[in-house]
Amino acid sequence: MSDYLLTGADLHMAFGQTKALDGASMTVGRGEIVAVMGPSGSGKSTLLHCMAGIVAPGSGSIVYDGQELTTMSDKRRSALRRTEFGFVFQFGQLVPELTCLENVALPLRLDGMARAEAERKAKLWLERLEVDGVADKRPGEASGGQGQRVAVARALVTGPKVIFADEPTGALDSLNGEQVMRLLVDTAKETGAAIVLVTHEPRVAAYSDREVVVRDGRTRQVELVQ
Amino acid sequence: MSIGHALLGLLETGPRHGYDLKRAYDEHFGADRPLAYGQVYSTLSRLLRNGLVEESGVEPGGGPERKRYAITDAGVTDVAEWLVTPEKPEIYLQSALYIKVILALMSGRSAGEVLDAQRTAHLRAMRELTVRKQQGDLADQLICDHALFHLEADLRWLELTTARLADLGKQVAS
Amino acid sequence: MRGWINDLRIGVRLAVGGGRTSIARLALSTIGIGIAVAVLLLAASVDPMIQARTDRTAAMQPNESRIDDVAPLRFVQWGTEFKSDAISVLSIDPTGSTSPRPPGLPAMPAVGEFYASQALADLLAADGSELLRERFPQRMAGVIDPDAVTAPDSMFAVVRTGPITTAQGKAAYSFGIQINTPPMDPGLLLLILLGSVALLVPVFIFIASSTRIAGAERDRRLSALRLVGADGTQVRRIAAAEGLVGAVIGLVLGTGLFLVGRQAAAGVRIMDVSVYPGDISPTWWLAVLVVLAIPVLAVLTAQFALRRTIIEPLSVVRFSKPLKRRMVPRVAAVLLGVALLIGADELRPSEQLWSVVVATGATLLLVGVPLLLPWVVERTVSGLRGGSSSWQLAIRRLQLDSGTSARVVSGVAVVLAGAIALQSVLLSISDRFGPTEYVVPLDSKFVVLVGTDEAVAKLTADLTALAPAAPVERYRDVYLQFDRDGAATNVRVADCALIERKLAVTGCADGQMFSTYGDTDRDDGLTPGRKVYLSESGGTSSRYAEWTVPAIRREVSRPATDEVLFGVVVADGPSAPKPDPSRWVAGARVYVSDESALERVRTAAVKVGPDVHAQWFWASTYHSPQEELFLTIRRGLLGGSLFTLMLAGVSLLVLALEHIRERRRPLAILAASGVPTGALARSLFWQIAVPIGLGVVVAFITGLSLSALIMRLTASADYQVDWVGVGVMTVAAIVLGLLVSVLTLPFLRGATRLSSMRTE
Repeated sequence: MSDYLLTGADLHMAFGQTKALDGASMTVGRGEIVAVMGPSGSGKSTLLHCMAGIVAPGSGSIVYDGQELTTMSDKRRSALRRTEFGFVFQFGQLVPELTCLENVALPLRLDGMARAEAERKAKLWLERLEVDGVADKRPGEASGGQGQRVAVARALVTGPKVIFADEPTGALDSLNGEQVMRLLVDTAKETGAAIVLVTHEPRVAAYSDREVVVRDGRTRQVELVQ
Repeated sequence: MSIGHALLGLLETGPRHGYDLKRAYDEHFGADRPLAYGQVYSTLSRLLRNGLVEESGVEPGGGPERKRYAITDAGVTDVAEWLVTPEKPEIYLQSALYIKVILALMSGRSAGEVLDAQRTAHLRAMRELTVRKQQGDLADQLICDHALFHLEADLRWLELTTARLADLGKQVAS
Repeated sequence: MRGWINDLRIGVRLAVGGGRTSIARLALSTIGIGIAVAVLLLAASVDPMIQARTDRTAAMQPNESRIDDVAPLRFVQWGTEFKSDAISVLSIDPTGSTSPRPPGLPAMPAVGEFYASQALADLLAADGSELLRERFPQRMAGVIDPDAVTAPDSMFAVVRTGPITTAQGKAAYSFGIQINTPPMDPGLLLLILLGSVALLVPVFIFIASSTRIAGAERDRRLSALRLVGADGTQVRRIAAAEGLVGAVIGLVLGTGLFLVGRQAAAGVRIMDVSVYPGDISPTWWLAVLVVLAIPVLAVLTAQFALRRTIIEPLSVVRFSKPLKRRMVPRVAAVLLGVALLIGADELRPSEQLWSVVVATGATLLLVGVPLLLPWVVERTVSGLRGGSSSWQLAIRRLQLDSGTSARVVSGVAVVLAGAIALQSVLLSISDRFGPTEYVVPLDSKFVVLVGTDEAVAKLTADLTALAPAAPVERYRDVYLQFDRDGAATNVRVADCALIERKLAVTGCADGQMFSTYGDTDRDDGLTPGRKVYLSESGGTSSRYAEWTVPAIRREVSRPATDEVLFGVVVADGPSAPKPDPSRWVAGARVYVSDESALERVRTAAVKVGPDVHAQWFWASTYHSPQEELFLTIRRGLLGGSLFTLMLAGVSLLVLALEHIRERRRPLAILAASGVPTGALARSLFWQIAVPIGLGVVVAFITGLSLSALIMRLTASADYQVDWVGVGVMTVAAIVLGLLVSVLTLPFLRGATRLSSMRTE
């Protein structure tokens, strides 16, 4: 158990009257890819947000690398998100006013890096994800697939240990979806980052090593590697 | 595709004639491919030989079609095991999975377990295909994609069915 | 430290670099702030403007205090009118080389020369001013330096014709006097306080609204930052930087606008007042305050708007219902305002604290409108259902997000509340200050000549020579005082011919007195045979002669209102009172038929000299200094109200446009799915109309309460509600709302074009 990088135990979370999480638990090992699946409204996105420290659960404990997330100050949690975690959402995550390059450089700059250096690093990642052609365009001017690759670049630019992806290919067609998944998984493997992948698509979940099924706020873990 | 198991499952609900069995099978499962009489009787003989069914009475008039068959305890156990054993995920499940679900419901067992087990098996298969795809060349990718899509179609059906369980239960119990 | 700078730079980048839409957003908000800044700088210049005028006027006044070794300058101040302009003239007669020179003149005029102010010089040179030029036959030696003239439109001349012999003449030893401002009447002070609050609060509200433009977009933007790992304080810093960019640009824009507008003020006359551009300079510390307050306000507003983003960043991304509004502090603020206004009664108006308390109370009450309006809209709308589809669309939108629409309307509502309060207070106070409006039902128009006996006689003779047929009625007004208690009255003395004609009597002779009151029991103290004193209109020290009331007192029927003979009329003759010939007791009425006749009379009067003045009956009314002040304040307030109303209109337009821009995707989708543009337009109309309707109601209640509370503080006048004024303002506000809806229609068309549907 202590071998795991990120552990969430007995998480409870309610929005008003509705119970989103009702004793959910999951673990993420170093470099592991975990798929979180479940019908809509099952609480899988909420589970991801809790594990990533975006939202604090009503009760339960989340431990990352030996530190308890639920008792951390907002400042430290934010710092964690900046440096150790990366995020890829379905849409609405890139800042529309900034160019793609600036978007990718953003987490670095928020962490205090100087602009020139941050953008240099960002450029490298854009190239790695084969999408440096849109570096100076705004997200609105790029296609869906390009935009998601920029998002992946942004998630990876800080060298995170865990990448949280919520329906990353949801808005993409099959080919673009395939390409984004391939790039995400390949680069994560190269850098040794774990991925927590919320999806309802089996073909996307098929990239993972383990599955967490969420139903009515409760979880069930299933090993996919035999 | 095991007709034997299907017949066994039908017999679980009560002893039937061979003729009766064929009719029941066709009604529930044989929509576009009705069972041949010969197949029924040869399967029944095999089951008899293996001790999974026994004769439970003879109608006057002789002839194989007049015999009544009943399931044995061994037969019941066999059916139970078969139900919970996931099918090898092939790209066309045909009606095996469907039959399993219906029979599970008919016999009052939990169809949810059937579905969950199958789902896990499917996912594992998909995972292996995905790994193979990542390491293979274009031809591999094409083949794997093809298989993956079909497996996904099955999986989606599994998930939908899980959600529809209550409805199915009501329908079949009538 | 570097982190700080980084964050600020990110903020600036977000504000400035976002492509067409965010430039548009920035432009809208900076224009809004710019206009507000210009208005504030103007408001800060009001005091200096008034002060500059007063200073110049004071510096121009001859000072009669003796100075040794200075030969006095004999002078007479008089005036004339030409068409609707009043011209004041200073006739001078230096007695020696050390006589003081009037300010603004390059040299002492020689005999037969005069200097004129620029406005007067222009008028003299204009076509149609022949009759005016006749009044200044002297040679014009030059123009008076504008620095010595009160206002660009002041008509003023310094004339030297020769020795000054009139009894009106005085002696000056220098120029420039101290004008002592008496302590202001509390009623006027209240008016000024209320006026300032009513005009300035909307400006600040408007600044806050401008900063919150495109709030939803900003929330989403900053939420994205939060999700990526910016902590709470970082997001605040970034948002502050964003707000500052708009504020700083707006400041620069506004200052520029102010400076440009200032120059334009040179040629403009607003409500009878013209101003030198140089006068319009803000008091320095007020200007500094404005320059500091705007960025601070922008930053504070941005911080307040961030509440939701910091606490629940995901809700922003998901468009869920906004945070519950905290009503308690808002209601408390309003109640505090009411309490302050009630409590001000305990203080004395002369104390500084009183002004502060009243101003704060009024501000809190007015600010209550934008604070409470969102809640009012929310509660009202939450129960509504049904109706046509455009109504439904609008109501649902309002139910989801009452805050934005309420904010859009708040500016107008505050202006309306302030205007309602002001109107009622103005009306209530004007009874005490305003000039009495007299209705003059005359069928013939006349000029009243007032002056010394000799001068009036000469003038009437001149006029009769000019136009023998024109009727002239002469009389004398004599002020009398009784012995014991200094009580006073006055009688009019006229010759018998006029008396008989006007009062329809016969047998008028010397020693008779006619009472036109028509009331035999009236006791006016003029009992026959009584000894009374002639005086200079009141005060025991001004008595100068005695007179015996005539024995015969005849009662006659009351003449038509405003006939020349009214009150008690004494027949002219040996037994009529004989006032001092140097005093201005003589009068005459000259009937004129048209404008040029009037000007001819005026010209003739000027030619006779400073001892007679031709008074055009309707145009001039006498005002006490307090009344003058009241009129000035009222003019200023009404002018300011116009400005703020314009500002409110612009703010409403800007916010409505922003509203459309924000909603362009859903609107485009609706349009694409077949909802006719007409229905969309109507739905937008309802979205604005409902909050405006509610805003008007809230403004009404607030405005009336405010004026009632203010009037309570001054015991000197009765509280009246100016229903007409209120009604006009309300209609204006509603029309403004409708107008804005109409103006946004073309932009609606643009928004519903399919190109708006592109995701992101």
